[in-house]
Amino acid sequence: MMTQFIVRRVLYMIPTLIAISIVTFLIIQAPPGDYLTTVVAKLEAEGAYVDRSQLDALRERYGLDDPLWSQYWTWISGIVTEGDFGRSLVYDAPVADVIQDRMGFTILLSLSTLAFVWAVAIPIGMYSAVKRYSIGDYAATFVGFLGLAIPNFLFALVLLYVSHRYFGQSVGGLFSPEYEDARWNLGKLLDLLAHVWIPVIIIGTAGTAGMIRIVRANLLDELNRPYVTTARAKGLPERRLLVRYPSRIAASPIVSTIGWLLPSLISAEIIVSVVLSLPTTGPVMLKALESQDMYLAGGFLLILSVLTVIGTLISDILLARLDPRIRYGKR
Amino acid sequence: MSVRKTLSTITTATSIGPADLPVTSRRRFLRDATVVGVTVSGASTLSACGFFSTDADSGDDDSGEAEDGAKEAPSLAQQVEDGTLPPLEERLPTEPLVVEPVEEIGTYGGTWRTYFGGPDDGNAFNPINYEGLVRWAREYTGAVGLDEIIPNLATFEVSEDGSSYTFHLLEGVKWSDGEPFTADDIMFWYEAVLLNETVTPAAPPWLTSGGETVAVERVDDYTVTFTFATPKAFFLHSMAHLGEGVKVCEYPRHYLEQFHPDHNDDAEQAAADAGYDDWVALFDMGNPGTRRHDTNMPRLTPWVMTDPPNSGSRAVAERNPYYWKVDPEGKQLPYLDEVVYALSEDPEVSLLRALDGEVDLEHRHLNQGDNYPLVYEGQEDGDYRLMTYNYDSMNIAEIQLNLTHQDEVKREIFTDKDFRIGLSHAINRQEIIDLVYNGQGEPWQTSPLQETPFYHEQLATQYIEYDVDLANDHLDQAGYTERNGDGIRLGPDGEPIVINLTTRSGVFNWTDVGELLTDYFREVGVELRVDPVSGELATETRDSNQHDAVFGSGLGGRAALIVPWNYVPISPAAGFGVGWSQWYQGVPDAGEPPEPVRRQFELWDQVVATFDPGTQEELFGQILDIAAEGFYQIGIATPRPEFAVVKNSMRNVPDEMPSGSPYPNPAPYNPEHFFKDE
Repeated sequence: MMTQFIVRRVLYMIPTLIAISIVTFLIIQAPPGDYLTTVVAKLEAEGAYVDRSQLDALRERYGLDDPLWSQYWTWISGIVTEGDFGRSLVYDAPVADVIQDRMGFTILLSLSTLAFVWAVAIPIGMYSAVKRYSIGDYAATFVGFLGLAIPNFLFALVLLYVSHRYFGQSVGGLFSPEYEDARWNLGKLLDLLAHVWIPVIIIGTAGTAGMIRIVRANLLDELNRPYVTTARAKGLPERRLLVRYPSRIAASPIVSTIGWLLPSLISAEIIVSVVLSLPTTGPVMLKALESQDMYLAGGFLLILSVLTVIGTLISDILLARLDPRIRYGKR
Repeated sequence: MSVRKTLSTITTATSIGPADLPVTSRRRFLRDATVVGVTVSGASTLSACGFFSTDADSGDDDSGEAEDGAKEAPSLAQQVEDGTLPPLEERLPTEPLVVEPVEEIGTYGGTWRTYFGGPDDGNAFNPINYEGLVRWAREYTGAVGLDEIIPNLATFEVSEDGSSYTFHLLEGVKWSDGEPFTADDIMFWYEAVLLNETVTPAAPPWLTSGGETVAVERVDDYTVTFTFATPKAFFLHSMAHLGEGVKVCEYPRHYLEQFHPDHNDDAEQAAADAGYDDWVALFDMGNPGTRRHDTNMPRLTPWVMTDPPNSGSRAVAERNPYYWKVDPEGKQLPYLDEVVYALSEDPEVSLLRALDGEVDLEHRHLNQGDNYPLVYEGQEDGDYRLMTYNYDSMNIAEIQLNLTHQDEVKREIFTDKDFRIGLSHAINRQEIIDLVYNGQGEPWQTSPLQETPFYHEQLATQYIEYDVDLANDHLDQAGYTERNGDGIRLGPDGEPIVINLTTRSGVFNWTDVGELLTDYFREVGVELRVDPVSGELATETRDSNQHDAVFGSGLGGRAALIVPWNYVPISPAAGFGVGWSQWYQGVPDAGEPPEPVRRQFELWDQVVATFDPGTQEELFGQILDIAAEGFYQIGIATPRPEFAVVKNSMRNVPDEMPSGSPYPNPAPYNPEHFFKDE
């Protein structure tokens, strides 16, 4: 049953991915101009200008004048047959290398943020649910909404200022200048920890707020169920009861968010990363889109889409295992 | 009479002979320096290694103390001692170029810390990559003639008519890997790059004249001659221009040969193996920033890239051991060990770093918004001072209505001179200056700046008074007297007159200026809609002639002849006459410009084919007369000076210098002789 379900879902993925790749490519090509426009704009600021014939020749060399379908075919056939995503025009390096270069810190940041969100949100959410309408619940709700309401980039700027003003820390990035290229040692690790809390808190706050509400709402639904009353009547200790039964069911919405987790591992928080100059993939993706570095942008969008699709599949499978009431498709 | 410029005729670079280098004393000091170097590195080894150390472990332990009188950096002296580097006199040219210090003789060591915006932020590296055959004089004013072009890697002679240029290369200059720099390198650039149709599909305008590409001839090992078919007015200016002539000295033959099929039969295969589409992609790395990311590439610059900008979150350039310039005492430059660029993708981060005192010398990203008071007040806390950059622009924002608009109605409205005069009188320039630019600058139309020989009074001051009644008179005179219910004037088609101003967001405070203009124009019955977009989109909209109006940045305020498009629309950067520029560049179907503009083009063609500065000035004056009469664009005010933060420990940095295209500040002030007094 399970296998059949998985196979069917994987087969559905294929047309989805083809559609995604086409849409992705069209979106990248949609804005007027191309990468050379960026080059022209830069040269002009330097007081130089490119002759029209030179521009035409460059367009031809990059294949920017080819019809859309032919550009698409070159791109997609490279990916499918050789796993070659093409070269980034801005970075002057294979797209895969550019993305890989920044993967480590991106994953580190995403996982730390996730750990932070879960570690903070789940206990608070459970507390809020159990002690509903208490002062603690109101306080948690208040802080949670505040976290949701403050735009991330603003929060980032405020924390930057605070760390610059009161901690005398080097601003932006994940390391102080002297550790940037240093070999790994305890000092570098401590330096990293001294910097990484800012993005983790910023990105985590909004997530935490949402998560607190979800956990609270789900748990509240469960707490009034007859089985809870029964268990309580039978004398099960309150704490054990809470953790063993309602919490498990309340966890299913959390599991379904794993589907979004996978792509966010790659993209991180773009705006926050730009504001903080983090060495993650977010700013690279933004820059690729801005400067119409089409292969890099396309590569990013495609990978993100694929990860979303795969993530959704994984969370569906997990959900199915966690909660037998979820059916394996049509019957 | 021909022009001849040698090293002895200029003041910033005088030559000294080998006899001036006190070889014996140098040796002794080297030995001393070495001893110190060893002790220090031993100490740092003890403290810095091991995982549980909390010190930054840079991985190299060759730092040492410079001894007074040492002619080279301690790290290099150590390498000479170790036998991994030839002694100094073998690395320097026979007559090294001497850099006259701004303040004093410096000491070795230290880091120049700054930042860059990303791998495509090539301009960040301009200050350390400015080594062409010739260069701009430090006090550049944009004057005509050759007074402000000084020898660098070569001295030069010019034939009387300005069609033939002979360069005598400085003998004994070496690439950063120790190979000699000779006429063969120039010839390699000429044959393998310029004449190769795959690398250079079309020769750039600065290398053509009379429709023909320049001919370069090798006279001997250290002499090359550039010959044009007809006289070429600004060839030496182009040779001093970072984006143009400096390229000539960026192609080390011995290294690049391996990537070129003319010299290596396997080049095509090698490129394919390295994952490139074709050999050109590998040869020039596909980008205008030629091989900036290649750390193996030999260079002639004071520092060479060791950590490229396209990976990681910083870029580092380290001392070039074969650098060919010295100070008046014969000490090899550069003084500073390295230049470190931290990645800063957001201007606010750059600003905070500067305020924190983590930036030694930089101006980029800082000259925006209301930063000036903040940076000014932070001087004491951040332990830095401010340097003035006199930006080479004559206007903060020229309103360029599209006079070649594809829409007939809009074209009819915009080309009406009375309409433009009306708008000009409607602008409260002093208010813009006070509100947006901290009261700095004065109302200005679009003439070159007052201190230049090209200052044109009519072009600077006509229609500049703020007078709403006068503005309404002119707009009425233009025939747009009918208004709709909102008080907006109706165009010839009966629709309200609307101007969509496409402007780059995030630069020059243009969005703020646009907001003010909206109010002023509404006052006289014209609707302005400001549309702030990314720089790329704004450029593309303008270059494809799809804009109603754009802002121009007033480039060429001093260097009017080098960056002339604000006065004669030869390039689409002239947003008021994109269609005319297309016609001039020979784009098929481009509409013929009106008679005065055609006359401007004729005059410009004469300017670039004349070598005599007097005639150039006279012809350009006529071009400005036509520009003034035509009143093609509306100016607002002269720009405020830019500022750079300079760490107090940075020395030999002047208080003031020119900036902006084509002057790659601070490069003409020889950053290689900046040093840190700590």
